[in-house]
Amino acid sequence: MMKRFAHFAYALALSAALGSPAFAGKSDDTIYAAFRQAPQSLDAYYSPGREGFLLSFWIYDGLIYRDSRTLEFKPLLATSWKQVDDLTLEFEIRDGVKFHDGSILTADDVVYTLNFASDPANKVFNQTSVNWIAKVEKTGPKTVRIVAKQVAPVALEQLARLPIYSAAYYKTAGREGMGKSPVGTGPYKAEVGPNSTFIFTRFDDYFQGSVKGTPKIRRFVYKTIPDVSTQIAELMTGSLDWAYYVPDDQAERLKRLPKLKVVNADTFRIAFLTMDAAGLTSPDTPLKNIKVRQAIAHAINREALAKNLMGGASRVIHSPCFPSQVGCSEDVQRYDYNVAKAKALMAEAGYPNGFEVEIFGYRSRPIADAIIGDLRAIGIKANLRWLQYPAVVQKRRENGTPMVIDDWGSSSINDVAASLAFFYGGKPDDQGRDAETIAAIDTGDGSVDLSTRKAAYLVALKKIAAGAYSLPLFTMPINYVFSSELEIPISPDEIPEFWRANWK
Amino acid sequence: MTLVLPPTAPVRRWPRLPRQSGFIFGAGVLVFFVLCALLAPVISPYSPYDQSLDGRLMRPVFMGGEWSHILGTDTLGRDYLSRLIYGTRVSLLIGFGTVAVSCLIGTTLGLLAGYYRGRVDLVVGFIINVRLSLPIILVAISVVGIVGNTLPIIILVLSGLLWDRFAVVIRALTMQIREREFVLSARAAGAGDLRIVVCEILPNVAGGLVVVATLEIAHAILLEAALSFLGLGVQPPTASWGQMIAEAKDVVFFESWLINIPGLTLLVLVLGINVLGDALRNMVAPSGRPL
Amino acid sequence: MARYVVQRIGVALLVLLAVSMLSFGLLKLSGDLATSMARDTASAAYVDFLRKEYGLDQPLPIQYLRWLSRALVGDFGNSFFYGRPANQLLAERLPVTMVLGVVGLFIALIFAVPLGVVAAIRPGGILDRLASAIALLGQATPTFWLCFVMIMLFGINLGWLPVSGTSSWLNFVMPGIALAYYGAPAFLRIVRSGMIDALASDYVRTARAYGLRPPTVLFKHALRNVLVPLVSVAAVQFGFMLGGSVVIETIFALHGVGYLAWEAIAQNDYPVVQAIVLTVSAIYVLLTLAADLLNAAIDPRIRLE
Repeated sequence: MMKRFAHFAYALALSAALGSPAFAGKSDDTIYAAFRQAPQSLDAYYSPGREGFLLSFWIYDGLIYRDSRTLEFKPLLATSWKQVDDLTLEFEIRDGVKFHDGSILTADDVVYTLNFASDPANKVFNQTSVNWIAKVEKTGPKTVRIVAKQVAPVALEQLARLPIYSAAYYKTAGREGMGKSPVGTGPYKAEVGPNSTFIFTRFDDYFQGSVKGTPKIRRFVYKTIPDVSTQIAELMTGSLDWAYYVPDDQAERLKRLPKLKVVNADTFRIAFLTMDAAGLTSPDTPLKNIKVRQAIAHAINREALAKNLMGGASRVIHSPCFPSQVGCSEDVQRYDYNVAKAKALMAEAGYPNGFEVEIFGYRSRPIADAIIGDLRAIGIKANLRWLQYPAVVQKRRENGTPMVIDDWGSSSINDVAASLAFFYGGKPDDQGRDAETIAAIDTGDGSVDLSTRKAAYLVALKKIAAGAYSLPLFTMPINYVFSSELEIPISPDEIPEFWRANWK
Repeated sequence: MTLVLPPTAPVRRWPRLPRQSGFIFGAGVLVFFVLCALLAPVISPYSPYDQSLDGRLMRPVFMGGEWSHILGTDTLGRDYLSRLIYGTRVSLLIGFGTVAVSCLIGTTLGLLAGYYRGRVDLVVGFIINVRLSLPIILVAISVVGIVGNTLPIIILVLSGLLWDRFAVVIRALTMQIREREFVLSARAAGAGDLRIVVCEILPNVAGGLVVVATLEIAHAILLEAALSFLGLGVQPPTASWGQMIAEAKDVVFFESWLINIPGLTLLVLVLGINVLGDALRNMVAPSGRPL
Repeated sequence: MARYVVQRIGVALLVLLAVSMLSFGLLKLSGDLATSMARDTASAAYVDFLRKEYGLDQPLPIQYLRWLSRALVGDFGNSFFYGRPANQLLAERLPVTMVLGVVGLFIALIFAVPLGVVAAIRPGGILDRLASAIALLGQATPTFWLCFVMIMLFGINLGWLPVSGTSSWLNFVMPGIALAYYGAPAFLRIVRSGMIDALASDYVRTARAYGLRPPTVLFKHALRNVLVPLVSVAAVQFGFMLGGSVVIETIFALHGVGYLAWEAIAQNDYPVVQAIVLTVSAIYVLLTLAADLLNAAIDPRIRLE
């Protein structure tokens, strides 16, 4: 403890002697990027949430890469792959790819990593990305076969986000070591800096011919700045070069500053309101009543929310999926904004004076406040519990959340298989637990035939809308704000690809 | 055992503006806000809850806004003046509510310690020490985080953390007063302990009580604001000044009036209450008794 | 003296014991720990296993004693969120808060001591009134508002000071001022009243009569008199600052224990919250104990009380 303190004091004294560090940007070939939360660990398999997900692309590489421009799959650590049978995929592993510690990638590393991740005993956080894998085996010096437990229509999507580790390093360093000084094959080497910063330095031996391309900018620094207004201040002073998820009000005003560029871009993320239709929190929750749920659907002015609070390209959705996703359809029952109708439904349901209910939120406070205001207009007194995402999810899985203002980015997968099953397929987060819906989703997820899948998902979506099992709100485009000296492509999948960035 | 006085415990009175002017200013501010709170439904131009997402962030009149919304509208298009007026209710309720409960706890403990002294005093002193060693904000956010952020809970949690100054001051005053002649003669006349404490001592420490109460009201109001800032204040859409500041903070660098209006209002109220407390102290304890 | 020291240490230990019970209560209040620990993988059997494994099926007093015996050696259990020992997290974050506290204390003192001294020279004079006004304003300003005003002025408009992070000592200036603003009035009061007493006392009058120059009298003789209460208040204030920096740390993105506590609360990570409450309380108890002992050593009257 004292030693740590002495270190810290020394570092401070040193920085004082050297004067304040150069401000951001081009001059020191470093992108200073802000995020709201720190990743829990640099070991991507044990770092839930968006932050951990991003690590798998910065520090690590997967077998394949989904091109962020075309959403097509391209070879990355594998040079090629083929579907051997319904359940089996075979990959040819690339030669001469170096890990950050200088060792060379082998087929054994791939086998080790994927077997490790898919072993339930290891409890990696992203179970759904790996639980389809039955076994992974080496079939030649450079060939690896992955066998699925059942038909896995999104296997490639999942493989594009499963980082490959160095078996030797991971065995010695363990979770603890990997979490602090990770070794991958990706475009950036990472280390933990002071004050919840993470320093990503260009990996000069990054393999030639990677479809990701080689990083141009030497370094980017991940700064954890929890308060949005502080991020804004830092953008304005120029000590930050990049931030995302900037609320629309602020982004709109930052546009006026010449040294900043604001881009509003769609993502796969959608917002929706979950409602405890199955009576999980309490057998007599008013939310079990379909009329109450429909009243809520009519009470919330989604158009106004999307237009005024989300801004940009946001549009109202009627199905709980992103419109471009395979299997998504808006051909379902719709609920317009109609307070009178909502009140009538409340009265029919036996709650003419409304009721009190807990509502959970974690992302946007103005949207939560507006929804609560709308609910109040039909007599529902919603008490807000503001927690961070993991806590909300935990609470829901303990059956403790009557309503959640939720959103979901489908892990950037362009297929409803990456969303419906979680919220309507009988999983712990499913608040409806409707047997027909679950069956339809199972049919869709269990087939590789596109038309069968689409038909099954449509049944599910129609059922979800008719029963108002949740209220889809709107798409969530996000605002990127960055230095106008910086040239950085915006991916539709919300993954900041710093390796493609360059200075103007 | 040494009792650590809370840092803001007045040590010696400030020479002030003529005594009455401080009193008049402080009392005036307080009365004004109490009236606002009581008359909120009458004087507010709109409901504090009516949101209109098409009329958001309208600027106040003095910044070129329209007279229909004198102080403009907030991020959800709610009338800012109405929210400010209704917010007075919540802020004062928290201030007075907290002090009512904490005064009860602190005064009881202070009277016990000062009157019985000896072991009772040791025990009370110990309890005060335990309370002082608990970091107020940390404990408040932890408990509110677990139990939920409703108004009664916030008031109870704050009361549980803000009674120490009452106990310290009342204990010291009681120790002095119990040796005074009128108390001794009451005892000689056969009055019981309870009777002496309630009829003889309590009226004589009331002045000190009021002084501490004013300071703690201000303290409680500021703490609620801090809780709101951290997202653990009163429930939306209820308006409290802290809540208003918290909601405005994201646009603080562009629409700073949104944070300055409730911020300044809060400052004026707390300043008024503190000035009133100072003025009262000067009236109650002109000779610098241990207050 | 020895008796006083022993007595004082005994009380401090008792206070810590009481605080530990309250912290433990906080942890129990936060809900079923076994479910929290199991997180997403929550199968009922696993939750039961954890409950047994951690002794959560035992009666409360036994659970408390087990918990206490671990806490005594600094083992506060694992953070649910970070999956690492809470004491590790605390050790990483405490230095930032400590530095912030020291800077805050320093700024408060260099501001309050001279102001208190000049205020005391002519009680009721212009400077005294100014000091009183500053103290009142200091108590009435919401901290976070002050923070934003400073960021706007020094960070954005003038560009003199960095807004967030800990990369240089300049990063601690604004948060330090915000923290000092909260503690300075107490120092101001104590210095001022102590100085007034001292200046009116016989020995200072004697010194003056002997023709010592006013500054010498002021600083050498009178200020010394203020030292004892000042040390006590400084210890208390430092303790308060450690616990009171949550808002400031959040705004200036200083990842200290205050921010950690807030983050942990929002993540339902109560082992961490409880470890922080207990640690901050313990630091406070130790500081006041040290101040008391120091004062007893300086001023014999205290230990005879």
